[in-house]
Amino acid sequence: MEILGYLSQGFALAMTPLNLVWLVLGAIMGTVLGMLPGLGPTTGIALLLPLTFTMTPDTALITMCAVYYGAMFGGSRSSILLNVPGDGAAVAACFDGYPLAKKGLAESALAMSAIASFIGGLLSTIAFVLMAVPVARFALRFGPPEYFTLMIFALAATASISKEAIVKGFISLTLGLMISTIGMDYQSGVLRFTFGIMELQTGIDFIIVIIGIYGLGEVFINFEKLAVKGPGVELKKKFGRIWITMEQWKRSWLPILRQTPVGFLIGVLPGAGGTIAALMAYNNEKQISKHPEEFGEGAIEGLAAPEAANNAASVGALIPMMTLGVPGSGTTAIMLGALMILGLQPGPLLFQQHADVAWAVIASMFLGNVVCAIINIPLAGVLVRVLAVPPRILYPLIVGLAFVGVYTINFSTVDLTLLMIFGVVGYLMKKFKIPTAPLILAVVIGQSMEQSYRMSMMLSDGQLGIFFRTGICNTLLVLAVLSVIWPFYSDWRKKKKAGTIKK
Amino acid sequence: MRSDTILGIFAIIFGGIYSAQALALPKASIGNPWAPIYFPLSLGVLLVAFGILLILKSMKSKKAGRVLSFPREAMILIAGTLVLCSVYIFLFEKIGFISSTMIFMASVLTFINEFKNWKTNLTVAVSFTLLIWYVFEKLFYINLP
Repeated sequence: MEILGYLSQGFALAMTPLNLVWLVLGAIMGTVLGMLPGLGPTTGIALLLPLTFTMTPDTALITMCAVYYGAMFGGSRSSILLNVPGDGAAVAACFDGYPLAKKGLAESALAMSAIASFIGGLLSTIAFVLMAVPVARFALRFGPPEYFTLMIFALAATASISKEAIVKGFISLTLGLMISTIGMDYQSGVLRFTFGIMELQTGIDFIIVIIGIYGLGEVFINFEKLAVKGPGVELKKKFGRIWITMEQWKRSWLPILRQTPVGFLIGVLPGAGGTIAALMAYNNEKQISKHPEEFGEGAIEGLAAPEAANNAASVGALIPMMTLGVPGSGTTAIMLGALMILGLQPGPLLFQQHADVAWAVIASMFLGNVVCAIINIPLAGVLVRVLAVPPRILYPLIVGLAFVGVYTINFSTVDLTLLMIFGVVGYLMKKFKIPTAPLILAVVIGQSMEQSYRMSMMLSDGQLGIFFRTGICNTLLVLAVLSVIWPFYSDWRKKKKAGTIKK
Repeated sequence: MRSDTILGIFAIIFGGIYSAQALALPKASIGNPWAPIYFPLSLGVLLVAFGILLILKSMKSKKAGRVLSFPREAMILIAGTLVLCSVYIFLFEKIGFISSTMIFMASVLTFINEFKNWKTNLTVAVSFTLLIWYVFEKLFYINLP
């Protein structure tokens, strides 16, 4: 009951005209950014971040969330129509979405992916409502040692997503933490790594790092595609009625309901995100299906399941960010950072001290899902025209937007130089196949991680034993170790399985 | 050389320099004098360790890391854009947002979208600049130079 009361207050705040306008604008911008190949939710939120500086915290967070799940809705549009995923999480939508479009069923595919996204998003928002308060209450027991171990877990899990890139993941993580040590040390006043540059005394703003790596870096990497002129796919511009048949719905409703909880749980876990959720949902359904041979040839449930799962994951990912104040992905790390700029500390106290903001955001997620469904079903035919904007015009616009956005943070041209440097860093990271999410996460939480480490050390008089003192700490450390071992274990299991089949 | 080996060498060198710099940091005047140094120092050592691990891993495995290729046309586009960005940064506060951004956008668009499309390029550059200026100055009251 208590929750319903909060939620109705949340709806009241979320439905103020200003918030509604931004919700709709955010959802549209997110859908469009998500659609454009190479630009995912992370880049989208990073580029639009400066716009939120003058907003109140609730409006800012509502806008960012709308961009986030708008991008999740939009990502699949270009997967279906062009066989080019708008972002990582939409890769799975290519597998069956594009074959469906080739069969002349583009309308059904567009509608189904939006319906599945809608149901996945809605159900997981309900789960969010039920989970947020208990998790936040539990997290009130966290002291500096618990926070430190929680951050270790989040970082380790993000860095060790794949076995192949595990060392590179940790290199990325360490570089991110190194960036966070630049500037004045808050506890002792010592200047670290500023090289006499006054602007560096307050540290490097993580937004510069993010816009550099995801904005400029993405543009640079896409320059390589500009150089190679492919045959190009004809973009379908005329659509019939965008809707699904009863038969398609019958095939898809159960996969949607089955894979939504999977996606949600993967989203809650740090490290794994929409991409993994979508791929896992696809594989699950293919394994369960009575007609696995249809997967990849245009099975509508093969489109519905991953779409539901990736939206569920995007809602799930907001739980650790909002209730614990520790993000588990690049996108939520940016949102956390943005909130800190607005003077709000996400975490367990958010639900006590700023309950209005927290619940307004949750309420806005219900509204946002409806808005996204409206944008993506009846208006899909209009919006996909964005895909016709030539990349050679699009990329200069992103560069321009990145520069203006970064300048407005501190009104300093030193930041613009840093932006260029991080653009090159982002490009090189992509070239060397170094995952970027661990670096971003480390840059955002690096400083609070060091502070909680040093506070724990002060509490314990320099004894490292403090990190093993409570059950919470021990559990988190075990989880951190498990997350590093897991990719190796699952790889070994796969090999063993393959070996036994061969025999 | 394979990309993983290059990355490993970079990590070792960078980690080494960073650790040396960390050791040279001023000590804290209150509390434990080494307190501001521990964290960065351990990061430097960790990076060196990861660099060594990566090199060992790439020596062991045959497929780890490929030889990187940097396509010429893309390199020209990136280098050109960076040069134009540097000029933009230099001009930004000197001649103000509107003039510098229009010049910058027009030149980047001409560079990437070719000169023959000059009409489109010019229209996009001017409308982008004015739109951004309007949004920031008038809607958000953020002052641009």
